[in-house]
Amino acid sequence: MNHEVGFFEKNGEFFPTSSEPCSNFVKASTSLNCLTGIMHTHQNFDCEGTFLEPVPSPEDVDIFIRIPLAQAAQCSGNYQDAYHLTIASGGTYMLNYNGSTTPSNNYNVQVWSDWYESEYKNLSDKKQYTQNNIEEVFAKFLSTCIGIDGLEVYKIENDTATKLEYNQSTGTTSSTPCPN
Amino acid sequence: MKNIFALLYLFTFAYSFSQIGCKQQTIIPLRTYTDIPQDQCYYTKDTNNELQDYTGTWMGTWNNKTFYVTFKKMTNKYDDHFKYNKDLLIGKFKTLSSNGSILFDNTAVTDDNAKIMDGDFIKDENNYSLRYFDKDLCNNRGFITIAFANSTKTQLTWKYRPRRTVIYPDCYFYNYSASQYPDPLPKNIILTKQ
Repeated sequence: MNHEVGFFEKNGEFFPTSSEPCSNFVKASTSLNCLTGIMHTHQNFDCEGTFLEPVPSPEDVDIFIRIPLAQAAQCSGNYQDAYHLTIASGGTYMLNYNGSTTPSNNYNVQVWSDWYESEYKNLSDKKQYTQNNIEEVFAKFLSTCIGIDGLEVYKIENDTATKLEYNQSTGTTSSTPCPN
Repeated sequence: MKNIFALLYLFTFAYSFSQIGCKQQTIIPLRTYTDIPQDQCYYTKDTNNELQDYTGTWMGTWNNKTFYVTFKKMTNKYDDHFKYNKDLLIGKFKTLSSNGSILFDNTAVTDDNAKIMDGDFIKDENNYSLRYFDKDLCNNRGFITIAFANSTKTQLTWKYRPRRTVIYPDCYFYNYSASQYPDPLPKNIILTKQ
């Protein structure tokens, strides 16, 4: 696969979408009304053979806040209806929000990207680019760089899900299985 | 009085969140791949002077375009992400069309705003990796690796791996076709020292 594919969910209906083949640019959708769910793939390698991060990107988080969360607040009034799924080779990751108020959009995605790219480049330079380390860095990214209370990430495998959480005081990441 | 407090605050802030208060630095080699304590006066220094040979301007052509990149060695520079001082390379580039017109040029930006930055040697390799981030191209970004292509160090292998970038309707090329998206950097090329 040389591009990303996915679906949007609007009012319980699903609409397919995809990025341009071999392009590193992906267009954000402009038709947003009641778009509360996004599912998309991250391919393992781009067209140059570069290994891609198999976890959500800073833009995925930004889009989740800008679109599904905002639309869920408007259309159903329930933030729990909003979700963002990233399907990659190492797992499927779901972003959720369990807060009761709209998170501030007073953030800078460039700052997020700088943080994210610095950490993943560091892992790659040190040859520590394992799925486990990649997940830990992503949990740390959500906690220390983004820092929005209620913003959560779950890893979904088969029919089970685990919540990934970074503890700032211990500097460790934990995986807590969800109750069945 | 307000200004004095503001200056005092800025000084305290800079002192607390950088290493400018260090009376003595702990110097460790550039090729250190263990975690380095943050804000404890560590400095990864180019003790073998490996970076010097990369500095200067390099040139290559691809897709009828001419590409110039100038690498500069920065010494004892504070890394505000990993929070220690380091020696590293930064890069500024200019890309010209076949008729010589300027397509992209950031050679005049300040060192702190260089679009190619965050240089480090990759563990167990002679490849040096850098990061590209271009807010003028809707946050276009990617990773670059360079390595000498000959023993006289007059040729350089350049590899650029663009990262996925989401563009929004406020991006100037949002409505362009994919073939018209900006393409400022070559992907794989041999550069020659100028």
